[in-house]
Amino acid sequence: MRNLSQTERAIMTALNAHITRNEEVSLTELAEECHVAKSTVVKAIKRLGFKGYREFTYNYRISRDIQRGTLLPLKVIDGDDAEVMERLVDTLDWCAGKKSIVFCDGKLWAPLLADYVSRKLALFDIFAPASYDYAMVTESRMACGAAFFFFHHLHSGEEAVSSGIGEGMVETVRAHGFRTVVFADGDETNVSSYADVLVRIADDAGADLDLFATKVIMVFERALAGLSRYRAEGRGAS
Amino acid sequence: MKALDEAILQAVRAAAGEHRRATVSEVAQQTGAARSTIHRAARKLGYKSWLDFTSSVVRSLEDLDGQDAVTTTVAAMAEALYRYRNLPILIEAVGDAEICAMFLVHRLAERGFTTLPYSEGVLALGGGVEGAGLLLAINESGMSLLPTCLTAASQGFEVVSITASHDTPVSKVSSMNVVIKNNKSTIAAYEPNYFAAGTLAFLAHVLRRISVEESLGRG
Repeated sequence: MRNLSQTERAIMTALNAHITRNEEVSLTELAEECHVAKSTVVKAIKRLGFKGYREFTYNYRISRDIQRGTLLPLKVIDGDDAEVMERLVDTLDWCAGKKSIVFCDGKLWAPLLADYVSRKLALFDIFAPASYDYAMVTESRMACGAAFFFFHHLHSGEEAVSSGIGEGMVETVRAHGFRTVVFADGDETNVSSYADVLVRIADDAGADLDLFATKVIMVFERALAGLSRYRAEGRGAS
Repeated sequence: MKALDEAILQAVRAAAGEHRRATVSEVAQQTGAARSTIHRAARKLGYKSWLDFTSSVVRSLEDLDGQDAVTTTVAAMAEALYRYRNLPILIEAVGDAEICAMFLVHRLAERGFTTLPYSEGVLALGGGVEGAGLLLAINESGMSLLPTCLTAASQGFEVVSITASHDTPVSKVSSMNVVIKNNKSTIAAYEPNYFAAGTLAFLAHVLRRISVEESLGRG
């Protein structure tokens, strides 16, 4: 609110709080709450180009949402974003008609992300159940697709969390013919040599704000959009 | 305010809604007003120039939807959760947002909250009295969880929600509604949908807020 005065800013902040709580607030109530005259509130609203209080609150209520730019992280991937996305999209396309696996062994994030990724891939006709079963790798009768892993090393002294029955599984899965896709933050030198597609998730700006899953989903959603374009343009294997 | 001035304002606001400044030429074309009239309309509102006017409207509207809105909304959600710290907090989500429900159940339980995934059986824990507990419904469309919200409300649970629009049945029955932008598309022409990502980020901010408040002995 760089261009609003301090009073105008206080008025807008108070109004925002009421609207968040789904509360109706009258012009009189808002003016009293902000210790200003009603005319001051009206003046502030008119400076934003609205005719009056009612029109402003109506428009603000229906249009207000949390913008991506202020909530979602700006930096999501470390390294060459375009190259990583291209390899990821190519791998998703390559999975068509094959069996893929989303490894879900681990603590909080791995099973949650595995469910998300598996469900979304199914929408794109990609068979990729969330699983931690070794037999899924060794006894497959279908052609091998991709294996997805999530390695998240938490900040703030929390214990490191990995997925996929330990990082050694990446090597095993690859040896059985799967393409390996690894989403990882932190130093993943152990798995990077076995990852066909390594998505290095950028470190969070603040150690107390864990946005690993947010970033993985952002990357994955972009990859799905890329896959959709691939198919629409008749490119790729499927 | 004259009808022509109003039309000019509408055009400026419409452009600002698209996160851009309206040009004098386009407003002149849209309203039929002379360029001098358009400049005068800006000065009537107390702005130095057309640039000053249109920039202010764009920035102000963007900022209202921006960081301050996040901060206020995060605080409101943290406060709602904290109010029910010692009572059942039920969390339900559908579709992409399912990931958010289990995440929040775990993370709040780690902080000593009584959080559970929603089920009708669990509603009975509240005893059916007013203020029995809290239901957080995360529903992109704001439609499919309406029966859940109504059932919970009938059992005395306060309902708060996260949806992709303020104008949905679920948001209407909620005492508090947070709107996270989504992007609906078909599989054939898919566009990234960041509703789940945005909700997770929002909840991460809420959890941080709760931690900070607790560390300061407030809450």
